[in-house]
Amino acid sequence: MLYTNHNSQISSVCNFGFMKDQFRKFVENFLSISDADFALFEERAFVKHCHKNEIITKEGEVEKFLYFVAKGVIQHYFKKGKETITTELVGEGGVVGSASSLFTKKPSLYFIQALQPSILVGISKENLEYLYAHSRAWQKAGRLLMSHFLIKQEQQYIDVLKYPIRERLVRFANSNPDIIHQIPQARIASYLKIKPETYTRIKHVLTEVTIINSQKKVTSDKA
Amino acid sequence: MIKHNIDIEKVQLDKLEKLFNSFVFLTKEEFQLLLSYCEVRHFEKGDIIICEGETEQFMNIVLMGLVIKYLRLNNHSSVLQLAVENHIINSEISFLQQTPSQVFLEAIEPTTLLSLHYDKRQQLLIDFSKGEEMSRKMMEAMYVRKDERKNRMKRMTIREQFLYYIDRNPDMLQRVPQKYLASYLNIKPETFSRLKHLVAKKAKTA
Repeated sequence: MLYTNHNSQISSVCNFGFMKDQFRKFVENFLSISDADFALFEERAFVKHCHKNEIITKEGEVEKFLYFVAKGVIQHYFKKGKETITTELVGEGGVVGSASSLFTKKPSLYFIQALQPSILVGISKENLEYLYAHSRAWQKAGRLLMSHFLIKQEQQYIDVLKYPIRERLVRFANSNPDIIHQIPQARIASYLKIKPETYTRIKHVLTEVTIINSQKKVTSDKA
Repeated sequence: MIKHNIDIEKVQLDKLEKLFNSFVFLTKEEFQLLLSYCEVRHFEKGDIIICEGETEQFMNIVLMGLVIKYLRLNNHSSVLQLAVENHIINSEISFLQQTPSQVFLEAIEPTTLLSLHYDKRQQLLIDFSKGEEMSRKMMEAMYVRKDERKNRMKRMTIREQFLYYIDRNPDMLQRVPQKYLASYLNIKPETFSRLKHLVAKKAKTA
């Protein structure tokens, strides 16, 4: 099946389908979803194209959606005086949205912004609840996904305490090889809680990690 | 009517029912059903509830007492959570993934927990129609609590964080050993002592 160029401005049904299929692959890491159940999701989800630096959710507004990142890089951040503090960096295959705000209906504690041109598959809270109410599979998927994000959240917190700065940078680079060079250095430093001066001193490890990762890729491609 | 072996005071039972209902509406029968899958566990002061390396088998709600969750690092420990009555606490990564725990859970006071074993939870998710929703909503609540705390820790000054916590949990200052409270709030012990006197001064002038 032929798909149009992802960067094309023409939003064709094929393009939408491809993005949603990526989401299906993501969910099926947790449990299998029947075609009927997935159709239920497809008719209630939407695809959103974001340009670079586009603000998706504003701090202070109540979050209405959750998004799957089909393409691009997204950050969660807030401003502390003049400083921008990045609390989340998410690439393809990840989920963004001011979850706390969505669940509690309290104002969002963060801005959510595309750091690169991005494509998101989004769903509203109401439609999410419709899925939970009408499908046992989505009900279960909701729980499994929530477990996944709870684990991720806790692990992030533990990692900051457990690992020294340099190792945190290496671990981040290893888990995000594709997006590490698409994110401004200041954002990575902020997210990893590394002072800008320290980051400048140690960022050479990124080059080393990239070389190692690309060598690994070549070996695995050959295999 | 489902019978359960849970021997808890009515006051605690009512609080529990309210807590469960905050996640999902439960009929009286459904509440009793849930309880029938749970067990009550008692711990002495100083008991380790779960060790680093052990696989967590339980989800717990504190019925009575005080539990801390901490990470043991090279030369110190870092307190991740303080749980008192009606708080949910366990080594969640270990529990959800059934992998070795990275954290310790310790009773700081004589403690009674309402616990749900992993196997019973799996059964409950199959048997109970509201099980999936209940589980998800509990995890959402845990996620929100941690997210809001993380946000406060990044946004507020040490002093603001201290006052925020003490304003909402005034009895914890007396109840929790200083070293644990200081660690939980990410405050150096010397700074913590200074801030404590701030609060005492405030109380005197009030």
